[in-house]
Amino acid sequence: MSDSHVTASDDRQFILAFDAGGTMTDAILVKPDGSFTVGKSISRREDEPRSYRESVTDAANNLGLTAEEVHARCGADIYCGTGMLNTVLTGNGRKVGLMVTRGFEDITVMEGGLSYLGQSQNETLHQQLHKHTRPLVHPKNVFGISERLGGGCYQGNIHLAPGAELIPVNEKQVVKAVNEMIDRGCEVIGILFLFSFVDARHEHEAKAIAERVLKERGLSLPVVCSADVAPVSKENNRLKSLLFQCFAAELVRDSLMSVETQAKAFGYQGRLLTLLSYGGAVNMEYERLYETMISGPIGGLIGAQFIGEKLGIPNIVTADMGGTSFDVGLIVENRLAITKSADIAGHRLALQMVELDSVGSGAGSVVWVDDYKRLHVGPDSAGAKVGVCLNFDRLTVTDINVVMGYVDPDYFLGGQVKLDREKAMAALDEAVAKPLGLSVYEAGAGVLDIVNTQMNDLLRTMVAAKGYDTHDFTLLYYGGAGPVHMYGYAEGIEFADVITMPWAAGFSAFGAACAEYMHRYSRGLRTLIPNNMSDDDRTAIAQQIRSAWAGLEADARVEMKNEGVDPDKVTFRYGVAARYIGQLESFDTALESGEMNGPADLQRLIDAFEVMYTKVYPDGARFPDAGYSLTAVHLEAIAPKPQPVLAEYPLSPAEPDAEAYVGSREVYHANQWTTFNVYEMAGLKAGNVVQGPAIIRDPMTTVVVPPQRTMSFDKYRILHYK
Amino acid sequence: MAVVNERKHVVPSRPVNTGPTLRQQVSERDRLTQETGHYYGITDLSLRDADPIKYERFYNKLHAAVLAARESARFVAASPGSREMGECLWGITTPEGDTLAVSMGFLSHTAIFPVAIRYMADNDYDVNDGIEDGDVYAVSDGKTGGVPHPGDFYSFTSICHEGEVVGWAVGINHLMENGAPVAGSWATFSVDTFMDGLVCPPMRTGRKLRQESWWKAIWERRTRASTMNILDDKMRLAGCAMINNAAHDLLAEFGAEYYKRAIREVIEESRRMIVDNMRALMVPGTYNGCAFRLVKYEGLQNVWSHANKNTLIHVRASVEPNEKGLMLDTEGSSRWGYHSYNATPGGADAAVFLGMINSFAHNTKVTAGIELAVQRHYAVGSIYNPDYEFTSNANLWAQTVALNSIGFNAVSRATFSRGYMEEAFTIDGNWGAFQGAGTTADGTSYGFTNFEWLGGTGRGAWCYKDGEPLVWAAWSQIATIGDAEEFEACVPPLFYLGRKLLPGYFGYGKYRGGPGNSAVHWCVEPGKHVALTRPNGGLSCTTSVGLGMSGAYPGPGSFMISARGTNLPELIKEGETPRDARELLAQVDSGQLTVENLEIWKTDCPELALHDHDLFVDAAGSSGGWGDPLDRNPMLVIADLNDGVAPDYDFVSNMHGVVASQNADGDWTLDAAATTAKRAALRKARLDESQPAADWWQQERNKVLAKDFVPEVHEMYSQSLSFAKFDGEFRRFWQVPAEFNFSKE
Amino acid sequence: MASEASISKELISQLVEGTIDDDNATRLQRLPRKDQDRFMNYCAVLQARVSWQDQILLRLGDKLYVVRNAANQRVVKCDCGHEFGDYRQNWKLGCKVRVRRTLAEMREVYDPAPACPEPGWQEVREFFCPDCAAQHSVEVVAPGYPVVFEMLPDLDKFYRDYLGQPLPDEAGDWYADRTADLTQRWAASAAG
Repeated sequence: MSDSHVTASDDRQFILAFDAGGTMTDAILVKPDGSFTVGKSISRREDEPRSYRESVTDAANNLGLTAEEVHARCGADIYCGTGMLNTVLTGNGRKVGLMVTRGFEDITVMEGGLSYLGQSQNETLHQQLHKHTRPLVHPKNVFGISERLGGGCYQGNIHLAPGAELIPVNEKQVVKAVNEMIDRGCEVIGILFLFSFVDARHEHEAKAIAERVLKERGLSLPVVCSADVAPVSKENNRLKSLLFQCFAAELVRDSLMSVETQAKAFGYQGRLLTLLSYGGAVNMEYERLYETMISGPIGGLIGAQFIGEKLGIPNIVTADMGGTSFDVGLIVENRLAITKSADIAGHRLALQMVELDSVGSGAGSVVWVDDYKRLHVGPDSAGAKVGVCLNFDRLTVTDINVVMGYVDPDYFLGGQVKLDREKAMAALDEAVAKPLGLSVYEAGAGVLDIVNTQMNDLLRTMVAAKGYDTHDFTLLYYGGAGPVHMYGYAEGIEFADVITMPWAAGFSAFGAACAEYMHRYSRGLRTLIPNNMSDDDRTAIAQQIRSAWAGLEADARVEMKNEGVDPDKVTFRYGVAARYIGQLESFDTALESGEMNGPADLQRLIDAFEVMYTKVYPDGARFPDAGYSLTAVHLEAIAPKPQPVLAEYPLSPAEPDAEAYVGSREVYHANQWTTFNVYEMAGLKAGNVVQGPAIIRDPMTTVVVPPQRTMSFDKYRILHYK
Repeated sequence: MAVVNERKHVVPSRPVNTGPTLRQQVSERDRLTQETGHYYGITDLSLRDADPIKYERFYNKLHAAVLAARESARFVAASPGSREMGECLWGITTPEGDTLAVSMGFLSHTAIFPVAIRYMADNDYDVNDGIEDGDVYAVSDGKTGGVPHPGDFYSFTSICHEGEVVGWAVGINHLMENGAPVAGSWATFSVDTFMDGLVCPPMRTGRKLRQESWWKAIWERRTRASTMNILDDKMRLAGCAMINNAAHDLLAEFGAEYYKRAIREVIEESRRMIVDNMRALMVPGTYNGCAFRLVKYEGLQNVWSHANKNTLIHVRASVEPNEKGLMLDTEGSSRWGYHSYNATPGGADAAVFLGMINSFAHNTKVTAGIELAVQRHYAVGSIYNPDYEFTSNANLWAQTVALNSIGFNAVSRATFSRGYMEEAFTIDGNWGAFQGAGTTADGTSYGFTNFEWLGGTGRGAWCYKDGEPLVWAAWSQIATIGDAEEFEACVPPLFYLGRKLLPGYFGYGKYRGGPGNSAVHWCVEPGKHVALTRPNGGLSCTTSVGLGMSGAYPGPGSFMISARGTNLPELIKEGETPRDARELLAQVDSGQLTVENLEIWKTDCPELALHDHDLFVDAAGSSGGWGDPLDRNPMLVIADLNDGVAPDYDFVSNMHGVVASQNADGDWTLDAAATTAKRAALRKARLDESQPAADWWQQERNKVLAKDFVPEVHEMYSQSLSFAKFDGEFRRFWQVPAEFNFSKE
Repeated sequence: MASEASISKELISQLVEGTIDDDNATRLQRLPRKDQDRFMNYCAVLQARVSWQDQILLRLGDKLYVVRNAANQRVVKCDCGHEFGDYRQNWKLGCKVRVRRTLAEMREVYDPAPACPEPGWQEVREFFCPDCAAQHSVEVVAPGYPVVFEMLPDLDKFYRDYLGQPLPDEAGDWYADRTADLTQRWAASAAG
């Protein structure tokens, strides 16, 4: 494709990024100087191009431009949404026909058990609540095919080699199955055979037969192989990846394409991009589109990664507090931390997904007291109705923030909406204070303490569970409510630094604008490196790894070329999945370079593994005597793309300008009324230091600075909390 | 003088412990609890009431540390059972071993924590050896550690503060191989503890959260899967180390005084809530249940002649709610025997608490509170409390899951009668696994266990709808069977030809149970040798439990089939290899599959050696029904026919009194009129073919008086009647003369 | 609060009829604490379904209740109206019994064939209502095993301590197994 975005000329330095959430679609328009403006519109799932049109027009108008003018000067247009997840949740996907290894016909119903995904420990204990998730394929559309490949042994090469053929593909059965699928009105065909992640030839053979039958019947249904969608071990997870791709991804692709058409109609000359669940951006022709399932939250993490690189902060914990949840993510050494079992909507996929965890406490979370006089926050949420103070019928966290004085009822969304403090106060008294026999303000303080503690514990656990130490991490907080509660959820955790941005409320969309144009590739290996291995054998292994990478590099260049990228501009990052011989789990290990020719390079790989491993586990968990095993090589291919620039500002004195000072407000903080000075975010300059007790107000959020604490603006106007 | 100096030299130096000894702490705990009826004498929750928010924060941190330990440490593991499935657990306890918080996993194992700690206390481990922070203890013995069976291996690490033991971090997982004469992790043919494999009474194996070097040699020399076991050992330790660190952080943040009081309040608080829950959900009274299990050793134990006999194990229990919670009484169950199915009180608790935690602790903190609310009676000399110190416990789970089912079903009956029907379903305890060892052509030897059917089972029928397939496991809240691709990689010469649900395999009723599971394993190029055995809950020649629910049939037992010497290559050509037990038997009947040696096993099989194209097929995880089969909605029967869930028309037609016809496409449609008629006929047949209980009683009583039973049943009665409670029940029911008894003539 | 709210009789009768949908069933399972008036509403729903007037004191099985009959006795009663007598005697002894002893007989109720219990060691006992032939219970036990008294409720304690609504005819001996009275009579009749 000639209209490639990566060769953007100087007149195309605008970046557009969208976060199409459940209720609102945010548009971020980044100018070449890195400054940006936000546009908003109601999300319309049935007509995404329209939401796109309205929000981008809103943003353009802020700069006195038209949508056309913006698109004409746009070098990158990134669109994140939740459409695919919605398709899965509502069950309105494609009608799937599935071929599986004979004897595994019930796999979609059994789904390996896993009837407790997404439940709290207390719920899993109450086993009456265990349920299967509705299958994404009708059991009658699942067909067993006689075939078998061996997968090799974990003990090493002591039996049949990986990929050994035990039973050939039964062509008659494939032909019969495909004809029946067609007759039953299937719209897409999936294939899952055992050990196809080791060797895809049986799946590909069946695919070829299927396509021949389709051709004979004059049809062109997509035929998708699990090995092409998710070439990794564990058939149950691989199946879910395959089904998501068949059931949802192809549908959503159409809708995303229509958004791209709208962008082109505005005069945009590049490809519309979306975000992968492990970071990186791809266009709408990306084969494994199901990997863009959670593109929304990814935005914030990529934004954090971007900020980290700009400020030279390798390790970051992100804290995103919105209306319904508090999401915590990890950036480790400037990389997104990846989890292996992605649980989404009751399915466990074989999907690389960023480490993202959340608790159901957000600004809109409902506050209630149970029979045992225990306070609960969430999981119900008022969503866009905010709380009793606006137009919801149950007490929410925002109500309490209004009562306590943290949130200014007259400056919500810059004063566009007035909140009713009296109603909130009455609700707090009724729902919490009276039942617990506390005063209204004690009760409010108690609730906020619970909310903050829940978030505080998630922050600790998220870092601790990975074996890291918060002293090595910077807390980056955002989301509309993030800055309001930071004083609470950051309390008592010693971070290297605690930062946010003036644009905290729109940070996820901003992050989407920062996304790198990156694809991730993996290839399975089953390579053993026993300690007594000869240098010749080590050299052979090094070269095996090198050639595996070379293969992936070639795939990447071809795939990116097809997406309109200049292959010469593609760069690579290298990694492997390694473990001690005998372990089942492999650990992704990043490498400095792709140099891999002899024993010395192999030793560097082993050293890198040991360093990574001991970061996570106590020394007693190491097992070098066992030798090492490599199970996959990874490659990340990166293409250049315009990035936002963090604008630098001249430093002003610590004392904020008089204009920035709005006035003062009484806040019930730390069990007493305290006078907080109120400042206007827009009025605060780089170099300013705001002394607590203070509140920095902004149309989109409120930053709370408790007594004895300070908030200082650096040269990027990033806020540092001390 | 020199001598004195030298003696000084060898006198063990008094360790750092300067606070109360373990023995003192345990007896103080017992005294306070007994005197007040409240845990540790905590009559009011002063910390919670003074500052509930601080109190909850304290527990959140404690709980988070334990959850985090599992989520991180399990990835060190080598065994799928630990990493993927529910077969592991981490917990933190009081100094006395009472549980404070547990991770996900097979959490009823908390029952044994106090047993091991009390043994250490009674034997002055802290006084003589000394216990320092981060000491590591290995435990896998039933008698001294309460461990259910040696396949479940425990690591205890001490948490000390200012010279005093303030708690324990514990990690557990189910080993793939534990070095018994019978390879695997359930030594099915053990006669006594000396055949149970690696059995460790509490013993220190490491210090400062590191194992000592000699410990590795034990795994390498005393088990058949040392690499796996060493990595599992490191996994348990990694989690314990994280918990130990977290506990020290809590002590620093909240102070030792707060910590010591809070951990007791936490247990008392949950105890109270559990007792409340029991009163809220149950109906007071007496609930009785029973189950059986046949042990077929006759002809297989020629070396140990005293064990060379069959045994019919009788599992008997009653549940009776009371002021303190409820009492579960197992009196009347069989005596211990020279077989691998004996339990110890700790092991029995681990089973009994499963249903109790599910039913009464899911809305509170999971702590030792359950152990105070559920009172247990295990008669001395019984299979749950042997008066012989060397019994084998290798495979107790094969019968204790039935004990759990009896208690759990009592709760189901209660919630049904109480009107909380949404909670009531039929509980069965029917698991499966296989284990063994082999040597490949190149001389590499290996041991293995395939846990898959331990990971999940069908759910018994609800009292208002059918049970679901593969949806839960009574013994772990994490129902996961793992992946065929991973288990296959652990057992070189065995390959899956099927892994699916077994049609028709459940208890029938108005609502049916969820179908059980069946897998087909195919042996290819076994090399020098491969052989396996199969432990199993419900592999017993009986149903999973003795009583059906409300007129339904209890879940069928499990079974397995070995088909050795087959014409499989011909079926491979046709693409028609057998996919489950049912299909294999049908192919044998039709002659399509020829088998030189076809064996159907309804009890544990002795070691089965496999050769090229031999097949090993299992069936497990079935579950029982609820209600009268003739009350089943005919349309549900039609649906099961069309979906292949219950494929045998003649069978279900006679079971449910449903008449249907099949069209050209093979779809079944109901004949409503004929169905009504058939149901009437079947009801008439019931009355025609039955006799009044009074008449039946007279006729049966004569058999009883004549002791007209097979030897196994005769001996079962002689054992159970040696306990007064069942003896009285038996005599009252059959009205036998005082001199009547089952002692050998 | 949700946990305290009464559950509608409509929902309860959907449970009884087996027509409740999964969302509602799950909602009931998730109640932080069960609705405390459930039992009385349950009894009302059950009472409306039976053809007779005797007051239901407790439901024992799908079609089996402890009721207070016209003669003011607490007896076990079938849906069809058949009375099994004093609830302190195991009602199974008022049933008609069919026993499956052979593999062929067991094969009619277990599938596939290897799922059958083993004759000799086990037998399958079916307990029917003498009037309507309802199958009220199934036992799979060893030959000669005493018929199991599945549940003997302590009604006085239940109504007084658990429900706070004592029964008018409380007495000291309502919670006692009286099954032996019956077997004694049978033994006597055999002897005489």
